[in-house]
Amino acid sequence: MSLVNYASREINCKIVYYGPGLGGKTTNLEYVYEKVAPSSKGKLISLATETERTLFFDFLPVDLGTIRGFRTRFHLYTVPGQVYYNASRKLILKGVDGVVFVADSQIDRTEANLEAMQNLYDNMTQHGYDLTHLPFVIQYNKRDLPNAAPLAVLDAALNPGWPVDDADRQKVTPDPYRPGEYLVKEVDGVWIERVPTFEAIAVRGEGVFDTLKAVSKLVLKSLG
Amino acid sequence: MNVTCPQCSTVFRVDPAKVPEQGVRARCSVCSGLIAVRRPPVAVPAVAPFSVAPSVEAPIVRSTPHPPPVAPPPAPAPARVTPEPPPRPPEQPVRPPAATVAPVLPALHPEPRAPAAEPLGAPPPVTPAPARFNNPFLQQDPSTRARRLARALVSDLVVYYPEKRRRGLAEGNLKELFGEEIRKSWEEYTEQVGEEIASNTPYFTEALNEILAEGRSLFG
Repeated sequence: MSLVNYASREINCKIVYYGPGLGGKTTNLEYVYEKVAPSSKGKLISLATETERTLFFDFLPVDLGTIRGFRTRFHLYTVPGQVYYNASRKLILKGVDGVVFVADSQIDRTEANLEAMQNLYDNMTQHGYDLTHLPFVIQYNKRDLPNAAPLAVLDAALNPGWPVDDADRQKVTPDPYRPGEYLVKEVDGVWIERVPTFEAIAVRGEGVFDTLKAVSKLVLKSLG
Repeated sequence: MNVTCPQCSTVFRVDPAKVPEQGVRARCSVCSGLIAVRRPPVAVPAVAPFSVAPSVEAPIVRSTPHPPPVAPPPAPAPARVTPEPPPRPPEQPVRPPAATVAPVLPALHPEPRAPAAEPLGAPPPVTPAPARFNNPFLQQDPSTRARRLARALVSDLVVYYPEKRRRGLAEGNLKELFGEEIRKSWEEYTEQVGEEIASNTPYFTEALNEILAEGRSLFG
């Protein structure tokens, strides 16, 4: 959860890029890092331990405006995507303020996407966090590949949504990022909420900032 | 019509009118297995009270107590009408071909064995007919999760070590080359699903044979 530093008058928010191995999480972060002005970013740190060959721990603060006189500093992290590095993933999720799930659009990675999503739900629950009430967006990466699954298929599998029980939130909410789509709507008497999704080709930077802006906005909103 | 996943036995509701004459292969959204969907022998009136445009309409939810209204919404009907129960479909115990997968597989969404019609997505038709809204990530039976975990672990080996795998397949020493990775994956698998499920189900071995060994029975 966000940490307030009164000395530096900063609110620190943690955004974690989650998803299957080799799906593009690190590519997203590297692209963001490259584009952010040097004066507003810290060091890009990556850690590889002996036992966890692919463990990636990226750290990147980016300043974005102020809230009640406090600047907001975003810390962006990736997790190791390979399934068997769950301990690291779980650790990195601790204190998370927002999640970006980077899905690999390739059909061959269907199971890996589903498993990573399941793992995200599970680890959040184990930390006592409620993913359905946390800033959360999904990015469908690698849209340029010939074996990329159709968006509808990815959406159906990875963004099934959840029932909205809070009466205040039970109102039709258009998806600001996808015209004609809805983030909250009533379906057969049940109010369902889905999360914003973005198409991306992270190696070319396409969709990277759209995704980051969306999750940052949600995080800022959650700070009130 | 109903279609049953041959691997996890989940039953899906499918609009027969959306199934191409030659049939279609779909992917089960519960266990990710392949399901061969064939058109029923008898022509069935296309009942698609909820026909979802071939667009992005995701799996939709339906609450049991409120069956979907009939297609062209007539006057304010006092009661909602449940679609005619479609003729019983032929059983679908079709074993999914282990090998290649059509590039555009429809994700079949799980659904409770409750009656309700379902809309079909575009390219490949099919959709679920939930009794009550169901987010599969919030609830799943241990076997389904174990099978998926096994397949994801093995799928990782394929994408992380493509060269080694190619060599192993060509030289016939896949088992030896991947010994260490398989051991680590198995450990993680066992830790997550528990010793009992890991040892008493064939999921891990199946995943190795199907995914890593390209359908050959090298592991067992």
